[in-house]
Amino acid sequence: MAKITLMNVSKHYKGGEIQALKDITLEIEDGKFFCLLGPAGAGKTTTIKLIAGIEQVDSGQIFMDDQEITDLLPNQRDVAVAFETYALYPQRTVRENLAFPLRAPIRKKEWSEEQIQRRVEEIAHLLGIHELLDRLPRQLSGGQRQRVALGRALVRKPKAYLFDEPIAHLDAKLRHRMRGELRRIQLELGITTIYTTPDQLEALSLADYMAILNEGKIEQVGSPTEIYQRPANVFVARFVGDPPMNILRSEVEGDEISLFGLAKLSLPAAIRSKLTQAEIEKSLMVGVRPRDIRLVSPSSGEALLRGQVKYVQVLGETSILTVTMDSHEVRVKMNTQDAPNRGEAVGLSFAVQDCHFFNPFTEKRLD
Amino acid sequence: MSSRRYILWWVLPAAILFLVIILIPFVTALTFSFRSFSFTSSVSTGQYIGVDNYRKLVFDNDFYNSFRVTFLYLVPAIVLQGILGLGMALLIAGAVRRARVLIPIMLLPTLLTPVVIGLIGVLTLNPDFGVIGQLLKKWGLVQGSVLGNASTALPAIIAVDTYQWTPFIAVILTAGLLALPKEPYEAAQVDGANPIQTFFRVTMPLLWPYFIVALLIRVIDAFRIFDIIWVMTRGGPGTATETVAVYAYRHTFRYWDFGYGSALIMVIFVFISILVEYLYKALQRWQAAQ
Amino acid sequence: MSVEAQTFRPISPANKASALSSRRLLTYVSYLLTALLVVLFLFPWLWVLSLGFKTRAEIMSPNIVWFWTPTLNNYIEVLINKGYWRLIINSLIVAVSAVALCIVIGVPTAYAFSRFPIPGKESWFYMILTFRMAPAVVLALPLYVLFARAKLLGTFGAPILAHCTFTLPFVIWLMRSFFDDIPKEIDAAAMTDGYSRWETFLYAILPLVKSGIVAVALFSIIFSWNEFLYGLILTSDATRPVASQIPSLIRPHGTLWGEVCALATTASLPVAFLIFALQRQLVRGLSFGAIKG
Repeated sequence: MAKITLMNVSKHYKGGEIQALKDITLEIEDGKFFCLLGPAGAGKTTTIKLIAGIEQVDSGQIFMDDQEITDLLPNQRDVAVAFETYALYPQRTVRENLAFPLRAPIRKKEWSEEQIQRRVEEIAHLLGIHELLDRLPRQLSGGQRQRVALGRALVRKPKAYLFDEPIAHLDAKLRHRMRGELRRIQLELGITTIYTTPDQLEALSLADYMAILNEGKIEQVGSPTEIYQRPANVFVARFVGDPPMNILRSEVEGDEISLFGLAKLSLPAAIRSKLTQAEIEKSLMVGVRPRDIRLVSPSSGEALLRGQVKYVQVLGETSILTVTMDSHEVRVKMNTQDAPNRGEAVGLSFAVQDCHFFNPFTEKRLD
Repeated sequence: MSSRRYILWWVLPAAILFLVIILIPFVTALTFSFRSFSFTSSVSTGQYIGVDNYRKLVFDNDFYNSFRVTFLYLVPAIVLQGILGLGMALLIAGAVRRARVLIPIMLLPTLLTPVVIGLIGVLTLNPDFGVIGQLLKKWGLVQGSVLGNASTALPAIIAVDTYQWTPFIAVILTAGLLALPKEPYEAAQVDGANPIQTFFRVTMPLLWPYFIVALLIRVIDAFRIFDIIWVMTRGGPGTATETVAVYAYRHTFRYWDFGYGSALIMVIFVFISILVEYLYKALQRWQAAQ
Repeated sequence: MSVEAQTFRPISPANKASALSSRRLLTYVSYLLTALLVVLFLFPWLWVLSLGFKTRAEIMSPNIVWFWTPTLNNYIEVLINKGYWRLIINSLIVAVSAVALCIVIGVPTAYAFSRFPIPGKESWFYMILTFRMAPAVVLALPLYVLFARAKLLGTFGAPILAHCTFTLPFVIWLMRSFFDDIPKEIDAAAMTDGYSRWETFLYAILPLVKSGIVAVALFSIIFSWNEFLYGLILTSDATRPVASQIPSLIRPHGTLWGEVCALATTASLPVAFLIFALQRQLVRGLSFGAIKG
């Protein structure tokens, strides 16, 4: 168990053409479940590889507790990795794959053959692959291979687990179950875990705290609640939460802002003062989560915006409406039973305290 | 980086072996090429004579003849083998797809000991009791011995070479044919191309890399051919079949002229390395394309 | 016309039946021609093989003898009475030693070339290929001189080391292509599983290229077995391999063709056997791995 620290880490690929990580500084506390969330190509896998020692940093340092591990070989770091590409040993059975880490010459004294077999069975049961133990990787489906890859990491108790999209290839139901299992195992063992995923919901539901990575840069670090409630910039605001937050361009008119020139909203004093500091005079980005918008009668005085329902997407209990006004679109999330029909005229209402205000140039949060 | 230092240990044994059996001998030959050796003096000394050996080479008609013979052998052999190999590949691809065992059978002549291939040439072409030699004599195509006649000896070697290497080109091209993607054919079919158009516009361009690799290997091989010629004609009659490698052998190990032989070796080596560069680039392009 | 093109030729429903049967006919014709080609290419070899089982009179007969009672006299005479079985053993000693040495030394090097950032990697590879492709005569002369100084001439060391000049580059070149086919994630997995680089190579990677190593070794044995020039000039009568001895048995007059053919047959059978053993890797070996067989 260990704290992992990245200090000003940068990494390029292909002779410097592609910058995978740009000056990353990150501290992952001991024993925590840490999620790295970001779209494909954000640098999540690179971060995992650098911490594991599979790739070398171009600049910067990596620490485990207080020991610098930047130049250590992977086998000297005592981390376990579950690769997104599985990287199973193709000529070995599932059983041998799972036992492989325990059979490493450096662990010869720690593990007897009997202990190894017992541990392999245990992990196989946990992951529901005990019936596949004598098969070869090529005889398994993608989801089964992924569980073997995960099992090969979980089979030992290292200083840290590094999981690179470890359940991405499982079907939805199994994914849900595995999420719960992983969280349970991690809580039980208390081993520092770094978990990458492009799925914001997965990150929000698993993480003690998380970082959002985009184009090799960290956009925000914080607990899932912090990140959901106070996204640091427009990217995070739109990436976390489903459907994405509505970002409304608006004009500043004295103490009020005008949304699409259709509605007026009084500006909170806190934001007002930030505006002067940031030398923003005219425009502003206002973010509202679809679930924070209420549907009201278009003739009602509560209606801030009035529009027409363009689509209704039913997701079981909830539905997502796309409401258009002039050329603008706003998404609203609501209970399916209350949802209007396509083409109906509706009024939209939301509270100013549910709004997120962003600098239109830097796209950073204002308050 | 901590791992960089021990990369050396991985390659050290091979590097030492490479140094001892290849680089040191090569440099030795390079120094020999500036020296003169006579039968009376000890092998290890030799007298420094500057570029005299190379100067002698420039005026040596036999040297030019050896390149001429090599090309006279190489060009028809490769054209013949390219055409026959392609035809053969198109013919056998369907059968090979079902019976992979055809590949080793076809490749038997290619991988058989060259000395034995030469022997096959000598015996089949024998005018008195050879299967082919008898026929040639009966039909009046050749008077006397095929290999003893300056005008027929080289064609005979080309024929034996073609016997040995056509299967090689055919098998490489067959591998290419069997690996062809289906999409371009579907596209050509949609465009209404006839089989001949499809062949020239789809098959040939896709097959081209295989062709290049096979032909380059053959071109370089032409400068190595020695065993077969040695068994069949020893470069004769006269110098009619004396290719570059045979000529170099005559001057080193027949005449024991180490200085001049080394100069020859250097020239051949430079020539080969230029050819190999083309091969290497073709291989890299080929691998990059995959 | 390509086989692929045939497969995708459009067939209108109206004449589907006749198109199918004519296509099937075409297929059978191509099988027949393939069979003929196989016979054509095997015939000269088989004919020379047959001479080894004939008497001198049968061989020299102006009318080719197609039916005869096979005799083993040539084999007995050349292999046992003249003691040329030693040549086969010599070939075996030289080929197996050279290949074993080059596999042990060359395989880790090939792995290093596949995985490590070796400075000037491609230049080294170009050089390796150049020496592999140069005629034997280029190195034969200096090797002769150097081995003479080292008193290696006439020992097995001379042909074994000389054969390494083409076997080592071949092993490194081809093994690298096998290693390149293995995803680097496998190495990464083994190393994070606690294995050192060397242990990763031994326990995770080598088992994956086992068949590749066997193929490269068998191929190298064929090349070594077939080699002529080094075996001729760097050896004595006691250490000469069979391929290098055969030409000296062919004389301008009075050649004992039956015995030559018997010896040549004995020499070429192991090669034929190895070719069949190599079946799956033949294309790759012959094209230096540029084309995956």
